[in-house]
Amino acid sequence: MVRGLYTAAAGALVAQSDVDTIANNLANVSTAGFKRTLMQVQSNDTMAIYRVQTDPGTTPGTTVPGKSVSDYVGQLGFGSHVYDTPADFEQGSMQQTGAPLDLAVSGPGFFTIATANGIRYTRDGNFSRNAQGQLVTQSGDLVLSTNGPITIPDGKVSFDSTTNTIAVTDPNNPTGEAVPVATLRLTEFGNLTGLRPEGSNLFVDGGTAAPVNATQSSVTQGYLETSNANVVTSMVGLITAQQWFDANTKMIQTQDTMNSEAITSVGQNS
Amino acid sequence: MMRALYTAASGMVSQQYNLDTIANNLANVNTTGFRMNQARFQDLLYQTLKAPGSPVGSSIVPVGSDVGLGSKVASSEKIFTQGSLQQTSNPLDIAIQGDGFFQITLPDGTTAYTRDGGFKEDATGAVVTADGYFLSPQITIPQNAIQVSVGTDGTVTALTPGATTPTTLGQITLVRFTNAAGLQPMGQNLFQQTGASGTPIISQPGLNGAGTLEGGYIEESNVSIVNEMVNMIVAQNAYQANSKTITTAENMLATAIQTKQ
Repeated sequence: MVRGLYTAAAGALVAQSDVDTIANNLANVSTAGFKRTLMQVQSNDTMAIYRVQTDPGTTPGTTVPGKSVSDYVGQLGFGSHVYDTPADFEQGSMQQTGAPLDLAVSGPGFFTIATANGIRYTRDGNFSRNAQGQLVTQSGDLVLSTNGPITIPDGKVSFDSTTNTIAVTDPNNPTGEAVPVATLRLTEFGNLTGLRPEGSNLFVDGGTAAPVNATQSSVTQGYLETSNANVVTSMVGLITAQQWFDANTKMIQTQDTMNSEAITSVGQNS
Repeated sequence: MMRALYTAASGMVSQQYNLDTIANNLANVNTTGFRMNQARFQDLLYQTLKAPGSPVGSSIVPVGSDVGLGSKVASSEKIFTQGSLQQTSNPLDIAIQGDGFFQITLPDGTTAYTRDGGFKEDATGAVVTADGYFLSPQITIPQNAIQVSVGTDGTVTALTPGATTPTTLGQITLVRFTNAAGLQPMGQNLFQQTGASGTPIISQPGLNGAGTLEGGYIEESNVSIVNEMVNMIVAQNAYQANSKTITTAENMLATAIQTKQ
């Protein structure tokens, strides 16, 4: 009976993790460039169950007293566990902001960011200039071009989507041609499950993501990619998780009641 | 469960901040020279339940699992788009068309910056803001001036009685910043320079990318009521969704507690 208690508890714990995951998705409904996490569940290892009985003997109808045999019955499962929490890299919708340094990626590419902890990747294109004129994220980390950090000189910033190049118009010559400054470094990945979210809208390559230069992505100026957290599926997920949890706790209650019955009724001195 | 409670609470706090920002924008819809704010969010750290690459038996786990801990406010960005111009009859109302800020000298000697060009004359004829702070470089209008006008390049001229051509009183200069969003708002429509905004680049209106001046006009706030209404709807829905998470987590916690009779 104790075995059944732990099996049901494992299911309830998985339902709890489900609610935690959905909670994070819903808390980030307004975060630009956020990718929702899904939960993958795997069943635990099974155990072989044997029936132990008195030896039936070779002649039908007789038994061999004092001797027992065990028969293989089948496999018994032991609940489930969370196997993986992959991010769903579905494209979010585009929100127009009109700001010249707001960039949005359509396609599978990521902006490449240099942080104090190494190279990171992001879909959040809400960039600005720091005091030295370099293109930085909201956290102050440098955005990388194909030639390292980008320094944008004074002037009106324009963006060429076909070559992903930032160009600046000289303020002393407003009607002149825009001078190209840098080409954005966009990264695509051969194995997206190797890309893990780190917080602060950054993704880190765990080693297996296989980064390559982007070929299928384009960047639009003046737009931001909204979060792809879906309130409707999250609500349905919450209902499902709660039912799942209730079913498993009901199982725990049933196991507990059966245990009490065994202890109080069966073991009663009458 | 407790983790989901705190995660959802962080989401609600973020949406609360979002709504506060929208409320400030809507309260300043009619403020001259007001620049709207936009709240920006980031996700918080992720707690690793199982690290990818950790050994399990004789094999290595190819993927890991982690759970996020909610969202936080990353910044409240000032948006510097041009507001529309409104014609007034006051010649000292100046609107900037394009980039740039007026320089204002505060009583303690420091310089503040503003887009609010609603200037007045004080008792001595000096050009001041509505709070009485001097415009820098300081311009004084003679007591007997009949007509004052401000050119698009910032030249202030006045017509005195008996003169056939207007006399030049001074030149208004504009200031631009590398990162105008890094300026610190001080209230009273004023901004202060910070380490993130870069040093001010002083130039004559119309040159070096600075905007031109229009006398007799004021620049309205750049708040778009339609956008703010939509943002309010989104903020309220997100707030409700997060409160539903809290209710669910709470119910599950109560169910778990009731398991033991």
